Amino acid sequence: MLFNSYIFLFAFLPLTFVGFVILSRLGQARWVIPWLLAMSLVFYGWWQPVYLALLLSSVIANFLIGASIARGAYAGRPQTALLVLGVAGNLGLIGWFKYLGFFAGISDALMGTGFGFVDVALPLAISFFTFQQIAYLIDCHRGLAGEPSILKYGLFVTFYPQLIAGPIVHHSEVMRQYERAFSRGPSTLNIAIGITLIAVGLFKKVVIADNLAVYATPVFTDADAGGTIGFARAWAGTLAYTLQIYFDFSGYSDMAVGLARLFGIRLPINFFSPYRATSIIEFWRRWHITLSRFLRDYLYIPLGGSRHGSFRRYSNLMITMLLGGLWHGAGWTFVVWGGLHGIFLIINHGWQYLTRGQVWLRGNIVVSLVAWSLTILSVSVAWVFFRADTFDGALAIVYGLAGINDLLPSMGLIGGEVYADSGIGKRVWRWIALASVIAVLCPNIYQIMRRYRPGLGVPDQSTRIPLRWRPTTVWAGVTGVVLVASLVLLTQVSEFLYFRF
Amino acid sequence: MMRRAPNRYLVALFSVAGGLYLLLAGINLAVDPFGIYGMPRIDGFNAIKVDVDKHIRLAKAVQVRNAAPKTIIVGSSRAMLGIPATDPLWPEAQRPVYNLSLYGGYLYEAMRYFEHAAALGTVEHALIAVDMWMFDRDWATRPGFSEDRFLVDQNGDPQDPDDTEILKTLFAWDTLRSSLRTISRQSRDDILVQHPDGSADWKDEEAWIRVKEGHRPQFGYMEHMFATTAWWPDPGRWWTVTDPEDPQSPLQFFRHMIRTSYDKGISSRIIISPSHARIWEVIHAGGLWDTWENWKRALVTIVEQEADSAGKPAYEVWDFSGYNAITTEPVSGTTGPMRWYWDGSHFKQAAGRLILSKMFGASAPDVPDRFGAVLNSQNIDAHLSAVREAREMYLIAHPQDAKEAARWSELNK
Repeated sequence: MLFNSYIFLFAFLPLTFVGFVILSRLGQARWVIPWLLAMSLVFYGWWQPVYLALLLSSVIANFLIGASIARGAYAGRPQTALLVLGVAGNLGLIGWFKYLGFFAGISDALMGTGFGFVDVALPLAISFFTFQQIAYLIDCHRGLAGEPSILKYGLFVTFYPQLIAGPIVHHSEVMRQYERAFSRGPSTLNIAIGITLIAVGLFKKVVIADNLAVYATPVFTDADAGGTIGFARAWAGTLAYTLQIYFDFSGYSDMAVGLARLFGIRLPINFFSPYRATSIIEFWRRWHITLSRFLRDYLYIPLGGSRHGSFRRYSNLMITMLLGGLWHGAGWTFVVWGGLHGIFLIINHGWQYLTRGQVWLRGNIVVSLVAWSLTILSVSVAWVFFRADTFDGALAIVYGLAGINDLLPSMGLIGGEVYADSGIGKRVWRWIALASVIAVLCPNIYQIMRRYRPGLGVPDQSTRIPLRWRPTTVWAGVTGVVLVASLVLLTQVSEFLYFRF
Repeated sequence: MMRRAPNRYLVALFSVAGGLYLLLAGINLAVDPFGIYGMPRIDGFNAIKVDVDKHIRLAKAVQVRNAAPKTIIVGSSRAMLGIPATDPLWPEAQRPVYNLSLYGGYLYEAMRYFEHAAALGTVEHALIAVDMWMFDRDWATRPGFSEDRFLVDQNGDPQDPDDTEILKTLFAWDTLRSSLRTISRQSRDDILVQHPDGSADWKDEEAWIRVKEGHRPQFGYMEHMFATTAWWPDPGRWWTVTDPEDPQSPLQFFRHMIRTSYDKGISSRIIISPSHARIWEVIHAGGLWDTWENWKRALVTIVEQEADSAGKPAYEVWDFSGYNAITTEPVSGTTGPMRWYWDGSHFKQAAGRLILSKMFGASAPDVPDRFGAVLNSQNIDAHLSAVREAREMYLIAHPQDAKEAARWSELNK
């Protein structure tokens, strides 16, 4: 079920919420967890009932393994073999469903194995629920986790606001909330905050992201089909996609945080104005925060992190980003995207090292502007590889961005014919300008609502935010308009981008 | 005080959102821009549905259910613009007539709309108006087509149409824009009037000429479109009319439609549109004349085969595509009106009425002799050869048209 569908917004969500209210009113708070777990399974099974069995098996197996590991950890007998088995099992599952075709292709190419085209349908959300459970097993082994109730554990993995596309929640931050939040029952403040976040998230998706997609998609389709892309069209397509993926994914995440909040649960936030970052390091602290956190704690640091000198540190960074790229999709374009970010991060860390002690660089507006431009440029160009279906398609756009097809020849800087591009019109630039202003210059919803602690992990900011949300009539009116603007554009139901991953 | 603030917030939010949402739905319902909510048509307010073409596939699937017609017309935009569904020439016993033709209608779509209408139980007669480009295998259903709207599924089993779609359009921004356009354009003269009976017509020819800059440019535009997108084989494009047995050939959809018609006891007529002779020159220039003739042969063969299987007389297959005073009407320049055509492909309802006169044997002084012939396996070779001869005569008599048509041959090189 999609968050931006009628069935979800007008049937499923009200039903789950009314069930929650009734159980609370009847003093049956202990039934809330089973209720939400059952509804989350319905939510998951709506599309692919077949994979419900897979999800359930994964949850039960991880629960049992986690319980054994945790018992061992408490008793002072670390169950390392069981942990290895558990992690390998999870990786094996995702490997089978997500990467079999990819690795069979590599094997065919390198060793002539002749597996041919292997295509296994990808179960929804497998990347997300696998990661959450791996983290859980590792923490059981560290003696930091060990949930005795399978229902509570099941809800931690499958809670529908976060199941399909994150945020990737950590057991320590949500499980302890369940009992307290559910026994307290519904609160109008939580509902007010939740609905506001849902309205904002839906608006970002259907009004902004979907309108940008109208311009971004044809450029990439054309490039993937072998077309030539001129300078203006390449930039319009790249910038439109850069903004589209932000509004799409952060809109989804805002909705997830808002949906959980209806039930009194605070989820970790996933985005914090990433396009305001003035370095790649900062970008990754603001973009898909829960994934960055997972990769840091369960990949980068176990690899050795920055503890073994700068060469190992940069290698670990690169490995982390390459695997992070591969996590997004089984394809070379995703590996290249991860690799580019790995290179950017290494350069960024190197620069920080070289300029340590150069106080004049900090807080200088010109330096900040240059740094911001470089950051956004790097991120945008990397998105081309993320978005294109083929490597050749991505290169076609990169050539376009560089002006090789029309701009440079027309200036006489390089030889060759000047390619006459079909052009892209003026409207796309209006959308890009509008979306950029919102993404870069406006405060984000977590800043605007900060006083009400909308989600977990909102960074402290000393700067004053001119807009501050409060449950007043004026804000209610604004939110109402935002909500209706999104609802009336729902007829063309499109998928959230992150469903693919 | 603070505790009550969230309550007030929620009340205000739901009032604003609910109010706006209902206001939008109320406007859409009252205007009914696609003619699918069954609201009254009020002159000067919403009588002319100027935007229905944006949702024509939805609108017609719904409208035909409400119309419960005795006769349906299926086809493409030629049949929609050219054949009036409400006309005294239709025999009393065959009315009401609903025109189920679609803009850009692919043959598969025509077949599905035919099945949908046949499942209503009211349809006794059908006019199946076909154009060769509808049989292109590489053509596809258009955006806006949905299998969920029909009374029968793809296997021919009954299904409940998904009417939530109608409800969704009521709450859509898209519909609101059409509603506002509908209200504001009622009195304009340069609009296409979509009639409740499914037929459509331009409101005013003078305004049409003003907007389209005359008939001659429209002839050129349409010929170019056909030459570049519809008729000339792209590399790798395969006209499956050359192989009527290919299960993926759209001819199979035609066969299925004829079979359904016999099964349901519907009395059908098949017509080949009377597009202008200049359009046939594009076919010729594209090297498709043989295909064109074979296609006509295939239609006749399929109808006769299905008639044999059903043990019933074969439906009449009318070829109006020949050369006569109608199809060779001189093309006017940029200002003057034309009697029978909008452009080379789309004939006017005046020509459509001649088709009705001819088929129903009404005495109409205007119908020229060589307008429309009933084809069967006995006469088709003679007929096709007569058409070929008539073409030679046409080229001699209309050297200007012949010269302009030669341009398409150049384009095909």
